[in-house]
Amino acid sequence: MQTELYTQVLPAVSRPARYLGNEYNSIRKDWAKVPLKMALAFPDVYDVGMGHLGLKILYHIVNRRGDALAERVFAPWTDMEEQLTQRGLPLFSLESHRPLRDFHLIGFTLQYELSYSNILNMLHLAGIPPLARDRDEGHPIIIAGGPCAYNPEPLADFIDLFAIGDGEYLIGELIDLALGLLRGERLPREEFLLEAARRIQGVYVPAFYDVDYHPDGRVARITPNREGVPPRVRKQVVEDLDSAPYPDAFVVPYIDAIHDRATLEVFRGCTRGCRFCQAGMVYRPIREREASTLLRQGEELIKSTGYEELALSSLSTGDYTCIEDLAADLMGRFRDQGIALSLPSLRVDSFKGELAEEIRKMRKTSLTFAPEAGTQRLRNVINKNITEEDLLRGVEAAFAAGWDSVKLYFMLGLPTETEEDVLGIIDLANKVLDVARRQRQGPRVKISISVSSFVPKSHTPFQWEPQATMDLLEERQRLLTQGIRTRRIQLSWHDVKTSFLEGVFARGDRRLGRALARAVELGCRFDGWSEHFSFPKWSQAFMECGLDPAFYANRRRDYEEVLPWSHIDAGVTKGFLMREHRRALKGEPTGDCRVGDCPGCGVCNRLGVANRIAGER
Amino acid sequence: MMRVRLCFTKGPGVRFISHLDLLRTFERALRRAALPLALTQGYHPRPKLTFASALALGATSEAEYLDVELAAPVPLGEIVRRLNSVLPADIRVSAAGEVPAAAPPLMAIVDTALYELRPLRPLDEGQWERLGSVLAGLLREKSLLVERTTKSGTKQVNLRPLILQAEVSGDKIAMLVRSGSRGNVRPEELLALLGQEPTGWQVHRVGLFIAQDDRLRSPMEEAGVVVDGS
Repeated sequence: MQTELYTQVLPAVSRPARYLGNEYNSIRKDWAKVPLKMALAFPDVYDVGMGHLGLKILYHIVNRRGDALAERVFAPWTDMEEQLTQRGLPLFSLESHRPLRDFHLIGFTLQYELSYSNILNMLHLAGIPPLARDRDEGHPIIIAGGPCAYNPEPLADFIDLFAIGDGEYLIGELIDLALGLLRGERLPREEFLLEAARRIQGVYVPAFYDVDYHPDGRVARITPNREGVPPRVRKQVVEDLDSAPYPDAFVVPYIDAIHDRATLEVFRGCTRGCRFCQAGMVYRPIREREASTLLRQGEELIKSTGYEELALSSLSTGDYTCIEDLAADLMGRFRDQGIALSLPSLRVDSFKGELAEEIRKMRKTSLTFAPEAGTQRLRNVINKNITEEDLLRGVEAAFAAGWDSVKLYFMLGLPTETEEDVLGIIDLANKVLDVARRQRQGPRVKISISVSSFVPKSHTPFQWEPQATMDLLEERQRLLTQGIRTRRIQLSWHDVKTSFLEGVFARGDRRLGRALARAVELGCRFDGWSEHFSFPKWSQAFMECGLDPAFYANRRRDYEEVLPWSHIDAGVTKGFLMREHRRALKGEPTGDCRVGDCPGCGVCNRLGVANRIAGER
Repeated sequence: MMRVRLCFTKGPGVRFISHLDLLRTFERALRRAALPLALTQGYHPRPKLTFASALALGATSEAEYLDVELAAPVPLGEIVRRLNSVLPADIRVSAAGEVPAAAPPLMAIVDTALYELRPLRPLDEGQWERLGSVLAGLLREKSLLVERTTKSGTKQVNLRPLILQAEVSGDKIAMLVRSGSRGNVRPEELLALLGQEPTGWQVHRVGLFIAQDDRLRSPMEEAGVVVDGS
């Protein structure tokens, strides 16, 4: 296969370096000497998947073990798929170019609902039956984790085991269990799944649960069908991120990939409590790394990769307790090597004196602000606690520091939104432009507005809310385009059909599996790529399966309804989400528990964890 | 300040890496090697690297060249050792030398390339013979016109004066052609003239040279002291 790959396949595809697998810091172990083989799969193309931090963390954790190996696989681009199909070659891992079906475990990361079709397609290309019930002892166990696993149901037919929550230790527990059960090359399927579901916190095996429905399609009940399997699966939490494993080296891609840089995860979790944000709800509590740990990790990564850029990553990096000190330390350490530091946007005005001077000299990476809504009223509804004054002050500081352009993120279709809120976006953009022009003259001053469509997600206070219809979203997009009267403000928006499909799967149930399988049969893949997305094919798939997608996207649920993800415990209680939902409708903000009162989300006392703030130990 | 000329190989494992990717790979390897790089000024400080010539995607090479500027002198042997310990496995620095800061840039002086072309599927004796006579026929022509498509449109180029030598020898075609500042012949253009499917051949660059008074000089000859990396 190796020869065919190099002489026939790679010359025929675009960006062949996507499939080489021999990048610097990639790890290729001796297949014969390592008992447990795991493939880490990202259901999008290499250039996108290589930017994903979770993949790097898991790759490091598995490969530092002597008894297991991890190899990467990404969705082959369509030209590569064509080559594989024509030549009858199976989808292979990057490092050793082994067929995927030779691995014991295949772990998919679920970052985005519109990558689900790629998962099915990848299994199909690997010669692995996409339906879990069609697989036997000879097939790998298909695992999935990541944010979308908090509503695993649309993938319940295809995935053997979902890993809910932080993966740093969970993956090791799965590997230990598999090693203990391994008979030669074979992993006893049923035994592995049952033991994992019984013993490992965060493991959800959908086949061990039955779902009953009301005649109108709502879920009636979800019940375990095996003894010893938890009725509710609680997420796994890494209590202390500071001591959790973190890669000392990243695989360095040859080709230009997104987020192709050294990244430090300064903290996990967020307690700002934005009501639309699933990550902010499911990654609680806040766990900060110590500045000294981050400095050490940054040094290791720069040394091992040679990257020219170091980024600080988290849900809200400006909130890191010692952000100024950390930024100063990192800059002092790397300044002379010409290494750029990507800093959080909102805190530009908080950097003073010498540090501000340094920032001015630094590489200008893009600067973004996310007010999310155009009026204070609507920002109160979604609990985005940023005022117009905050924003304008941040923008002013940025332009004073030498930036020529900023990007502002907004959402359309938020609960309670009116036309006034939409026009508020234009109003705010004009004010930002005025501030910018006071600081900087010249033709390059530019405000970019990126407007996405709000998609209600599971485990958030808006999980009961209907998603705005496609018609309404398009009407509001028109309102925006018509209202912008200067070329200094550039507007971009998301395709509403894509957001609708995302909304369907974000809160869908198991029955969607049939439509998903049908859509893939019809040729759907890379749905997140506008050049591949085909809404007519999806509509056909839903129709053929007798499913109404609007039932999932545009329907208001009441509090009593059994939601398809109600057996998944993300830590926050239903009571808290209901309270937050009611406060939202009244426009009442809720404070951040790091600095104010405990809003009673339930995570700390129920999971026996707590916010961990750097410097407080 | 020290300007260092490196000669390196590009092996089969990295032959699908584009010129731009190779540039990035060297920038990062130079950082990993912790060499005192001279950086460009401004918001985007970058190491100062210049290559002799871009190698086509899919081709391998045993002698590519690049110049890099260091902010402080480092022994040549040390540069080679440190770089080779942090380069991807299929890229090896085979020699390093110091060139005067004022020396002309590599791409301005390199003008000739030697290639070896090998078929991916073995040819039999008869096929080689026929190929040899077609090639000999081509070389007797005064003019070999090919069309090149550029951003500004298509233009005709006469390859004949740019082909210095070409012959079938054993299991390969060897071709010495102009490359760089004085015109350029792409191996796939010659293959097409020979009636061959270019994707059916493995292109290997043996060397890049500076033609001077009937003699081919290596870019390393420009460098005063040279250290062998092998």
